[in-house]
Amino acid sequence: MARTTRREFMLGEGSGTGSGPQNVHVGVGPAHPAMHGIIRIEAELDGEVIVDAEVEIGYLHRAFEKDCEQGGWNNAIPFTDRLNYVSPLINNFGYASAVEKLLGVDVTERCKYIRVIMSEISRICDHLTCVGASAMELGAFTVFLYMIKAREFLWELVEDVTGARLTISYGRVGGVKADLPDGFAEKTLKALKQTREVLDEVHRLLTGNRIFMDRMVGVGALSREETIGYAITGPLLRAVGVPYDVRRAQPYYVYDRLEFEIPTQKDGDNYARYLVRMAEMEQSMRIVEQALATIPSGPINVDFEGRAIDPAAYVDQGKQGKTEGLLLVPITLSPNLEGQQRAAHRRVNVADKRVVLPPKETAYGSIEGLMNHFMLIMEGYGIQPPAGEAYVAVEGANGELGFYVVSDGSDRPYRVRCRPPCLPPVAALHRMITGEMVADLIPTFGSVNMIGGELDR
Amino acid sequence: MAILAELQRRFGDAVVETHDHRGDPTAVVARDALLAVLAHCRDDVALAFDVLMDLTAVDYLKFPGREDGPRFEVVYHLYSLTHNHRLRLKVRMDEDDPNVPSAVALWPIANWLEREVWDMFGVRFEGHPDLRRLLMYEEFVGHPLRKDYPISRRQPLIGPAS
Amino acid sequence: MATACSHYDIDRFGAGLPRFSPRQADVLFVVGTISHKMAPVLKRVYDQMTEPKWVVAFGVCTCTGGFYDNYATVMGIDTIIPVDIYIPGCPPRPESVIDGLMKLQDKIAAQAQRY
Repeated sequence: MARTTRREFMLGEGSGTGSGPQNVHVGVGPAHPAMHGIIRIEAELDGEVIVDAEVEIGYLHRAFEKDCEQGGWNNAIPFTDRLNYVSPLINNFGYASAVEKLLGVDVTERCKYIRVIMSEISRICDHLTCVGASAMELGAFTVFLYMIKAREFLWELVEDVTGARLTISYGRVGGVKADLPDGFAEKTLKALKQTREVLDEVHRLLTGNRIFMDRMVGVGALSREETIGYAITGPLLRAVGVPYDVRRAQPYYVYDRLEFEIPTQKDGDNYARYLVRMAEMEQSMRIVEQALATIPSGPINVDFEGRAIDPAAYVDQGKQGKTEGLLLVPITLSPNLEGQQRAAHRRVNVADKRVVLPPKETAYGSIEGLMNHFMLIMEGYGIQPPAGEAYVAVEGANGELGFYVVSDGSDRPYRVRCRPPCLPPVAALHRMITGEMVADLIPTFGSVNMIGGELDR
Repeated sequence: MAILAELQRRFGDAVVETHDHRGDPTAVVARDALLAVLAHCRDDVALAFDVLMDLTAVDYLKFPGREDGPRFEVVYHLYSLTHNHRLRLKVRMDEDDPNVPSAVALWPIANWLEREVWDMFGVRFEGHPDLRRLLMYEEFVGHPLRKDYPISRRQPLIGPAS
Repeated sequence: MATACSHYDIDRFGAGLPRFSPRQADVLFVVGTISHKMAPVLKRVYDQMTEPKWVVAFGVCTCTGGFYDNYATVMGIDTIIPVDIYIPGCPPRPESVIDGLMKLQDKIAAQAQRY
């Protein structure tokens, strides 16, 4: 009897090709630290090589589409926050745009600029999280810490504008919740400068890093035909060389007036996706800076140095004891009950009584305003888009985020469908990891940037 | 719209209805001609719809004015990378015959999208290699996005059944 | 994630070490909505932990189900596993997380030895 080598004994016949009873089934199960969100990948391994994989999703299914049908049109906004919860502003605005298309209203100029600025900030946050988390899984923990630090700078901005860091419910049908705070432009430019420094550090740490490149180059690649066949959009499509970006192809808001590039790569592997995301962050920052420079209409109140100061901030400063120079300011208290000037409300919300709540002084001050408010809030009334359907696509951080809304003419959505941009890459994941080694599963999955809330809805 | 005119010219009666509400070209297609229309949309050079953006369904059970009509409508959103145009195709079916030919052979993404429609609505896709639930667990009974499935009905696998 | 990083930093509370296996962990942070599909997995992970173990329900969806009163969501993980600390919020701010962690530390310190 010929002696078998240890390898042949362990693996059975041959040198490890083909499948058979000696293959190991590994479940990279739902509760796994490297699985952002929860997903189950059942891989069949032949040694270290994945010969077959099956992906199972649905562990975070929270009935988004059914929940949206239960309340009014604006009630769905908090549910949309929790779709792609790393870039919630894009979801809010995408949904609001879909309903606005059904209604046939077009938002104000300033609102468009605000939506662009907030969307881009959200996009940068999403890419920071994605690159940071996938770098952490490869062992580059420092990069993760740096990127989360940069994300904190941006989240402070988001908190200033919307009041919350993550689940912001900022968009509304017909506008946004409130105008940008005063001093936002300076704070944003400072935060972007700090973010650029972080990105520069990360570039120096990762982009030419031998270990990083060895693990990411040539791994998890998908051919161009397969990428298109799987309807993959976003950074993964741009990493195979197709410069498709909804902001350029079907411009919405004010993207047609802003200059930005669509970074593409050719190889379609994890490294290409990483490069695309890093370049996109720079482009998003460019967009924010241009938008801040050209946003229409300026501040309302100014203090003795000519800087804008709104009455609420004035009062806050007084409470904190920072009263230097304050008494010199001939401050005019806000005449309305929302703490902001009336012009601000009209600047960011469409002047359409069927859609947007009236400003508070009108609601409390006149009978028409009160009735308008009543008709928009009470059950059975509210925003009532005419019966029909509309599909609006915005560029989410992962690709084309589409909202398909069907209205039956009542105050509740009849059907709200979210086309999740991360579903196609996860559907193609088994193609990406088959033939790779099991350790390559982690960076490939990280570069797909699956967000559980959006995938499972 | 040029796309709709082209489809009507080519497929005649199979294109049951078209509209252009809010600028979205939409065509309702008869079920028997569905695969032919989809294949034509993908392969024809002038249309070149190489991306199946979305595949979903709508349940018209409680829609005012359409309660007696065909209950389910499967909606395909197509996009062309070369020509940068979109199309929405719809196909209607009754409650007692919710079957549609599968588009898996044309676009691989249809595999998961159709599984989701099966899971949520109960529409069967003929020719689908592996039609099972995508989002809900296997033991779940019913199809949750149907209008007659109450939102709070629970079928827990473990824990109190409330 | 943000709580673990430089701005807020839970490492200074001794909680900086996420273990990748339930068998080596002391505290189970259940983060995010638990659906009925995930519930058996959660129970299994909890069962795999060795005593002594504590559970922190992080986020309002794990505390009570949040606003997801629908067919897919478990309305509070305390219907499945025993919970020691509830941290509400959607999502909880890092300060709440640190507060919850400190309360857990106090609770553990106050627990009598059981052997």
